[in-house]
Amino acid sequence: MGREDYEGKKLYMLIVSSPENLAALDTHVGNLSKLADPRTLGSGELDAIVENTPATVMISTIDTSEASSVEAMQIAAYQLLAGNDARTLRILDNVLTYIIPVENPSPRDRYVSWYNTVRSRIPKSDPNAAEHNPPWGVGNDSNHYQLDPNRDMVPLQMREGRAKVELIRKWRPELALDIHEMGAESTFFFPPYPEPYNTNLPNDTLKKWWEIYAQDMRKQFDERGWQYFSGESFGSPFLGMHTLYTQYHGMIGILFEQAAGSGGLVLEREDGSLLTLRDRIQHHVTGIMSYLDTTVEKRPELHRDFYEFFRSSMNGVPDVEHKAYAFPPDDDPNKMSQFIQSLLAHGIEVQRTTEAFSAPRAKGYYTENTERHDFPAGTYLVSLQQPLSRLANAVLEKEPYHSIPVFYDISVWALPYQYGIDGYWMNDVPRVPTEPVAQPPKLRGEIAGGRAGFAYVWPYRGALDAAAAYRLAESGVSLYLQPGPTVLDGTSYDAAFVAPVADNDESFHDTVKAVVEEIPVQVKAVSTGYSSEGSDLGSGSMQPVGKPAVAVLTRDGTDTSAWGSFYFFFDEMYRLPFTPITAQQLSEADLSRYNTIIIPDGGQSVRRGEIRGKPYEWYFRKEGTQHLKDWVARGGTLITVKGGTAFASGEGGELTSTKSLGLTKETPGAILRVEARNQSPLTAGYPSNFHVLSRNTRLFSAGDAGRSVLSYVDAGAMNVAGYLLEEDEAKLAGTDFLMTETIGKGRVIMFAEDPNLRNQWTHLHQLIFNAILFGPLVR
Amino acid sequence: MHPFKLLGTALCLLGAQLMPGLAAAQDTRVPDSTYNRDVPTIQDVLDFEPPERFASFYETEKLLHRWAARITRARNSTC
Repeated sequence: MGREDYEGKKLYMLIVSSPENLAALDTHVGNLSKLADPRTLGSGELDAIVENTPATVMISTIDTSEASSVEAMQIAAYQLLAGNDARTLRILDNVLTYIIPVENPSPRDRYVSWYNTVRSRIPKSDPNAAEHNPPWGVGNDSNHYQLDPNRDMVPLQMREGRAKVELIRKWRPELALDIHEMGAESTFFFPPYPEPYNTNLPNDTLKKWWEIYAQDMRKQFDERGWQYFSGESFGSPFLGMHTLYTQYHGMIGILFEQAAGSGGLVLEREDGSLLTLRDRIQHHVTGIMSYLDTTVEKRPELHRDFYEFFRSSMNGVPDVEHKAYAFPPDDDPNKMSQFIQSLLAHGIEVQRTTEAFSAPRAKGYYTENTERHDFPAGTYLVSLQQPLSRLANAVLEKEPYHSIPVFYDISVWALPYQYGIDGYWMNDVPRVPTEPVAQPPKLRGEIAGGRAGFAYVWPYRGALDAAAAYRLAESGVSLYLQPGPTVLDGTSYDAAFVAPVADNDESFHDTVKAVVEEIPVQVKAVSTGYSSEGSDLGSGSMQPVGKPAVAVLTRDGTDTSAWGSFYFFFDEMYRLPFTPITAQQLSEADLSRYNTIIIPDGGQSVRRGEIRGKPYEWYFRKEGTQHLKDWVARGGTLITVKGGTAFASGEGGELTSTKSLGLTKETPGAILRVEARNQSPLTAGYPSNFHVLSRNTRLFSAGDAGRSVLSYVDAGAMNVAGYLLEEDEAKLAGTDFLMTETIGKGRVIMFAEDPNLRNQWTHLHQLIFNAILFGPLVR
Repeated sequence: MHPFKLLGTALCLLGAQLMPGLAAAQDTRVPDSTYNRDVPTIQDVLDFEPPERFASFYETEKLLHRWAARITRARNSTC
């Protein structure tokens, strides 16, 4: 677990309380941990803990470029450290306050460093001033990889989110104060939140606490004549955001949203009034002190409700029928390892069965019927009879219940869909011997059979297998895809990568060994090219894998998060070389050093049925577009995603004949089925139909000169999970998800939708690898 | 009110007006609070105090270390 962010900046938490409380810190936290796991609470202990334990409040913000938040936390910290008035001392005696002033250091540092370069002696309130218009990638809340940790709390892939959960589980806060900023024309928000709520939570209890805390807050703001609102915004069943996520660990999650806009030190609003940093800080500090005061007043009741959250979770989630989930082992050990790693990072208890078992009535993620299902030994079990059953069900249930069709960010997020894991749920916890799982399945790279006499072969089961192929090909190793099915040296393969000895020099044995040590894939050394079933290794059906030389468009024009998904994919997740490149360089530079260029989603963005921003052709202009087209015609592979595909279409930059068919009306997130239209190496490793995520969707179909590779299936059979209007389902049916078109000696590979949203949809990573590794095979 | 205390208050107000940074800092603090002067202020550590300007990550880090090292009310923990 990283205790630093991706730029090496430490993640700090300041614990403030009375010297007496700090001297007994371990005891207090130990007692709170007992409340959070009723199995460890001794008989009669509850009352003493409630009476003698300070309350715990965590104050933080993950959105650190919302600049007054950090300043306010520093001032609140000083207040608690130096204040010797009765109010402050009372808080210190009754509360352990955990302050995380810079929970996400990279965006904070980007913003402050940039702001200091453009500020003047006299701060500018003019919204047009440079200090209110940060460049691309500055002023957002994304981490080093331009990915937003405040949308990562379901898969928990990012260091920042994992650190937060570690802190929650170690220090057991009961109240979360999450300090944020919003648009300049607003005022100040604090809960209650409106519907929709996540039905896994004890919402009546939460509503009670939102209101308890709001009472003093209203009084404080009214006394000062400050405007505020509550009860109208920020309600959502989505738990990918920090504030809402904390509530699945028994906390009362409180969001402060202060009007700020582009912020700076002072900003003129539309009505001419000035919004100052001082005002923004004062509002937050006043709010923090109010919530600490109320916590002092309500300390015993807060403890009892904290305990009740976990006690009421121990026999399953109230009002939820099913009691367990079962996940049979997957052919791709990497997928299962990532999935289990996410569950464990949340603190969710996982077991592995040591014997086969049968569930008489099980329902699955990809089936409609409830029926008997047999599970092998080694199946992973998540029982909902555990302290975090509410959290477990919230990240595993097929789709959340939305009491009203209002969506904050996304409407569906079940982890098994993101990782492409098969799974089932049932109304009883299976009676089968199990062992606890403390670590995800360990992935080991190995070469079976020693030094190859004929070739090294490894199955193409998942993204890591493709990553190894990328690394080897990039190192100059000559290799092939055996499309399969085949049986080589007694082993069956659906598809496999093959690196023949005859095609490579002597050093390649060491290269294969080095790559396998870094990327855990299972390689077999074979001494024959004979296949007992399928094509021999000297057959013309072997598909050559070229040496990848990849550039990915970044900065102006790209959607920061869409770029960030690729940045994380190459640099952090698979550790593969690539070149980030700007639109200006792509428009002018000698591109012959690249054979693959990726244009992530960007240009215009789509939200709620509307297109905003400038299209990519505005950034490339006619000359740059022609420059890119010429590079493709000379043999390049251009991979475009969503907004990039709009650019490649006939209605955009006219690189291809692809037809842009408009937008869906409202697709906040639906898991939909696509099917392969033609046999293509681009779908290697996938069945003939499988699921993808559709969100804020653009519609395309292959043009007269193009070819459809994957298309949405017919309406009625399309929707696997999530929210989808009938009219949008009808629009989507038959349109294309993946298309190709050749231009001269090159080709354009076009994704209608982002297959790598936030780098969370690892299920679709093979599609990206296929486009890179096998793109040149597209004719 | 004791005359010396009144004088002291007047001098403080005058000083605050001459030093806009200090005045601004006091604006953002909690009204009616009193403070232990042994605890270094943000101004003491960073040479400025919000809302004069923004603290960088490294300035906040410096602040946290200084406070945690000198104050019995605080403990610093890295995640």
